[in-house]
Order: sequence, then C-alpha cells, then structure tokens
Amino acid sequence: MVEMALGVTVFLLATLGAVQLGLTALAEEGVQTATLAGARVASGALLSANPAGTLMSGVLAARSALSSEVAGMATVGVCQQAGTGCWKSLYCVRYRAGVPQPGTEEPCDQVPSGAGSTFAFGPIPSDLDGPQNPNCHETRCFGVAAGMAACHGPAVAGRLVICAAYTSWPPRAVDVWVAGGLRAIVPWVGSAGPGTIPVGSRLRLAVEAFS
Amino acid sequence: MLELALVLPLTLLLGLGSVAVVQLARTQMALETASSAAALVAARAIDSQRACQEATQELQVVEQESSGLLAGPIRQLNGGHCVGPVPDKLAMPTALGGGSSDIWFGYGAALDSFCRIGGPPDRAGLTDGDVEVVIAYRPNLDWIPVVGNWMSPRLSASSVQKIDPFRSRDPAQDPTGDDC
Repeated sequence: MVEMALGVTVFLLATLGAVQLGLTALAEEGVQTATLAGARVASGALLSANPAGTLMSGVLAARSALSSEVAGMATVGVCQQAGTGCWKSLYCVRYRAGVPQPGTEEPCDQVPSGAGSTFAFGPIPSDLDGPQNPNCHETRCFGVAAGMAACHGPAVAGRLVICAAYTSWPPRAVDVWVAGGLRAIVPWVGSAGPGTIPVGSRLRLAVEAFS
Repeated sequence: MLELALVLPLTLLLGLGSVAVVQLARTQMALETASSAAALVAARAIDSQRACQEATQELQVVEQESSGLLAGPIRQLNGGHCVGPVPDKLAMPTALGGGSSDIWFGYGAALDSFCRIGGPPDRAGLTDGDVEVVIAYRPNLDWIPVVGNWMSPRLSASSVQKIDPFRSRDPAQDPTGDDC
C-alpha cells in the first residue's frame, strides 16, 4: 500500500511538472509569436507624420497576441514609465539629413501633418535604438532607447512588458522586445523557489518601404 | 518491495517520456516561430546576401533566447552561399546521421527574385518573389535512459515570405555585382 502511495505521488508530481512545462512552453512561444506580430505591424510603412502611431499599433498588436497566449500566467503592461521613453508621450524633433534640429521638439501627436514630408519629424535621439542615440557606443545596439528601459529590469512574476523603438531616423528598422516573468502554476514549485519563469523575445525588423 | 521495484522505474520512464513529448512539441513550435521570424527578416532585406545574413542572425537570437531548447551550432547548407534553390527539408543532413544536434539552416530565393522586374534598381519595376527558410534539428534526448536515442526524431520547419516589393535596392550594397 505504501509503495502504491509512493508511486502515485511520484507519478502525480511528474504529471504536474509536465503540465507546468507544457503551459510554460506555450506561453514562451506566445511571447515569440507576439513579438513577431508586433514587429510586423510596427514596421509597417509610415503613412502619417506622427511616427508614434505606427509604433503604438505594433505594441497593441503584440499585447493583443500576448493576452490570448500567456494562459493567465502574466499580465501584459504597456508603457510602464511616463516620459519621453513611452510611445504614448513620445517627443519628436525635426530632422534634416539625419540630424536633429535643436529647438524643434514637440509631442509626436502634435506634429503638423503638412510638415514637409512623412519623415520630417522623428523621435528624439534618446528614443532611437541605434547609433543616433548618444547612449549607443556600438555599431549594433539593442535596447538603448529610453523606451526600452522597462524591458531591462529583473523579471517580475506575472508581468510582461512590451518595448518598441525605431533604430534610426529616417526609419530603417524597428526593435521590439517583450520581456518579463511568468507565474508558476504549480503551487509547490511556486513556493519552493522558482516561482518566476523569465521569458523574453527580441526582434529587429526592417521597416516596410514604399518607394 | 517487488511492487516498488516495478512501479518506480516504470513511473520514472513514464514521467520522463511525458516530459520528452512536451519538449519535442515545444521544440517544434520554437522551430516554426524561428523559421517564420527568419523568413520575415529575410524578406525585408536589401538583397539576397543580406537576407541570408540577417536570417542567420535572427536564428542566433532565437537560439540564445530558447533557454537551451535549441542547443547546437547553426550550420548553413551550401557552405554559406546565400543564393540558390530552396533546400529540400527532407534531404537536410539531420536525416542522414543520428544524434546530431546541429541546427541546419537553409535559405532559398532565386537571385532574380531580389531584382526589380524590368531592369536594374532605381529604374522601373517592382521586386517580386518569395524567400523560404528551412530549419531542421534533431534534439538530443539521450537523458532518457534506454529509449532516449530511439526517441530523438528529426524536426523541421519552413516558412515562406513575400519579398517586400517596394524595398529600394541599394546599388552600393550589391556584393554580387549583378544589379540586384
């Protein structure tokens, strides 16, 4: 009888572990898929003067994909920090030949639609994820834009964050980064230590071009 | 005692087997996503050479982020040549030998599909064509005693993307010198 109880317990633990593994796997793939979905939308051709609009659409697409795929193991946060790093309050500046013009900053959603061309106003340099950002000291930076700061932090259980930024202005590519932690669903595993399962996915995708 | 001696190994094998099945399903999903991402990145590239390089870079990122799920060096078919016919995933090297954990990557796009129809870049016409990325992988399940090697199947995934038809091809970045 004791042997049977032992066997059943071991079997149950193995089964629960497999369920946890399976759900985590689904959620991890969900994160990858959401990154893909977000990048695909965020890299769409710019059709308006406001560069934040396309990024915002990408982030929302990623959030929508994530919400349905993380199986309740995390909530999805968008734009954790207020300020210039957040796409909702992105500041834009006028660019000439790839150089930002001092004194021309204004909120991206207030950029005049007839500002010369679609690429006349772009995100301020600290919101770019490439060499135009003073914080980028390599040829291939990822995650240096102010808007990516939320994705740098330690993984918090049950919290995913979506970050997105253009790599340059005029835009050549978008960087999308989904990072955070999933909650462990097995109570014993959750309380014993590894209650947070860190996940993350990054993608750089060239901007769709109309010429 | 005899029952315990019977039940425990059987339970262990069952448990390990179910973990392995989940791992295999997970790996297959990871391959599908990786091929999809790599093909999308490739389709937006400026020419075939870049497309292949960027697809490989994307695969490396996916591999690093897979928490060891895709473990092994990424090997490219055709000795690193980025232009050529779409590889047949059934004929990829993992099918030939057992126990290989290399990630085999094949990129296919006819060179002309990156050319603009109607002439060299910056003249009339649009780019038309597809890129296809094929990945094959044989995960290592040797950690399952007795049946591990037998259970290691060959997994593969492929994804096709339409090349961005409006991408301006930059003649300055034309490594093959054929105006593509």
